Amino acid sequence: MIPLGFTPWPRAATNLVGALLLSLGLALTAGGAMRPPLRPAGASPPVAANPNGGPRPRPPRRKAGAKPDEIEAGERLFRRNCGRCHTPPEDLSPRAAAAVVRQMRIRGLLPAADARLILLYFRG
Amino acid sequence: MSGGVSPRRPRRAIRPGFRSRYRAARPALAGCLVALILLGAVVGASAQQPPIVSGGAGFLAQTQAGATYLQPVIAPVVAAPLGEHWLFESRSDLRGFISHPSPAAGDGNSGYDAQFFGTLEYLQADYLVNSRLTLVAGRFLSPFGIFNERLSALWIDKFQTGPIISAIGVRGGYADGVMLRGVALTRPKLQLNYVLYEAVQSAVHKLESTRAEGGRAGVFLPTFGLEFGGSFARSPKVGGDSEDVYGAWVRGDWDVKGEAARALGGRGDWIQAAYRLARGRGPDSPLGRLEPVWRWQQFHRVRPMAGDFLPGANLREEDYGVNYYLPQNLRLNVAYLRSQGPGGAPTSWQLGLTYRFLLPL
Repeated sequence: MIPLGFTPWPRAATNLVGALLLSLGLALTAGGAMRPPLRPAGASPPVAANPNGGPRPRPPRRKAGAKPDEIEAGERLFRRNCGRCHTPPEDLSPRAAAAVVRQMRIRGLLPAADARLILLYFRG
Repeated sequence: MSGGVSPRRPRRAIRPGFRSRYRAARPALAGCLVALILLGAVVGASAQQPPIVSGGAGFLAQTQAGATYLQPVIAPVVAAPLGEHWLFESRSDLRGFISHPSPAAGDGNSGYDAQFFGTLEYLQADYLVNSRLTLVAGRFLSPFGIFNERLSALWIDKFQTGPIISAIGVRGGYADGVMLRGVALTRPKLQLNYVLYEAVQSAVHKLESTRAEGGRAGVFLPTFGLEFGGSFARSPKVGGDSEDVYGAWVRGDWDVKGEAARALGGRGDWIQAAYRLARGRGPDSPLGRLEPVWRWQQFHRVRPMAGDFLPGANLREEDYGVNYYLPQNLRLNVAYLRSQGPGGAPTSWQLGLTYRFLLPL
């Protein structure tokens, strides 16, 4: 018996809402499954041996492909290409660089090779 | 028991209406499946390439014929890369238009009138096919000329108002459809780029679009900081055909751009020059942050055409401005616009403060 004042939703809308909720749940699960596996609990990174007895500090790792001449070329290309339209941003987070460079490659019609060097410059 | 075939057990009756409800839900289920795949992929891939929220915000003021107009505006951009080939991006423009009538109006109204507008400028999916080709689908900025796609952003445009001929070839400025774009040829001293698009007719609210097709080709000479090109647009239903040529020279502290375009309703051109006083002092010095700007433009009405977003009569305008680039991506702009002709107000003053923001999510 339908309570007074209750109007049932159309069937198609009910199907859509149910499908959306199911999709959201599966998407969150699938997204988690696509992340790289976490390091097992308690594991620590390997430490190089120190002949003096204590652990040797690990030298800073240079990003793969970021050679000094490529970074210099990237800065030059950045000023040459991006400067056609606007002033350079005062600060650009390396995390944001990928999205920015891809957007500018498409919107500003940057050659692929130039976009790669500009990205190395931002992340270098 | 008889030797004949036993009677077939009747099939379990299907509830009436089940098949029709399933057919009605199939499109929704298909759409949700696609959304599921995309959402899962975005979540999984976002660790290395997080989406960004960027864009411009500002407060603009203009005084014209004694009346003052205030415009608070924010134009956020969302860009989400996905994998090695995809980018989903969108930009909106949210602004208020607050006007205070001129005391000379004499109607005794001393208050402000306010209206607010929201526009979806683009919402597109980009796919990088290879180094020479990108496919775009969705709602995008009409790629006609040099201004609409590259210079119209709030924090890029040297003046508050775009050129008076900026509507030629783009009408409202946006199109729904598909686009091919890319760099056809790349050499150390030469780049050739191209754009081709097809737009569909749309009367959907906030997604209005006019049936059109067009393209643009450009040449960029990096060594000289020089680029030039041309555009065309075909709109059978409105406005007819439009053509455009443009050029730009950006070298050192100089930034010079210009464009000439024509449509069925008229033709016009503009040239703009800006000089950043950074030579010898650096762009971060007090004087180096200063940038005088000058623009000259004209429009000649050939035949009356309602709704083409162009001045109703001949118009010539000369604009003088100064931009001051403050720290933290802030920019102060002051400009004086002087018009000649029945198509515009004689003089107007503009004052604006804009801010460019960029945040990784």
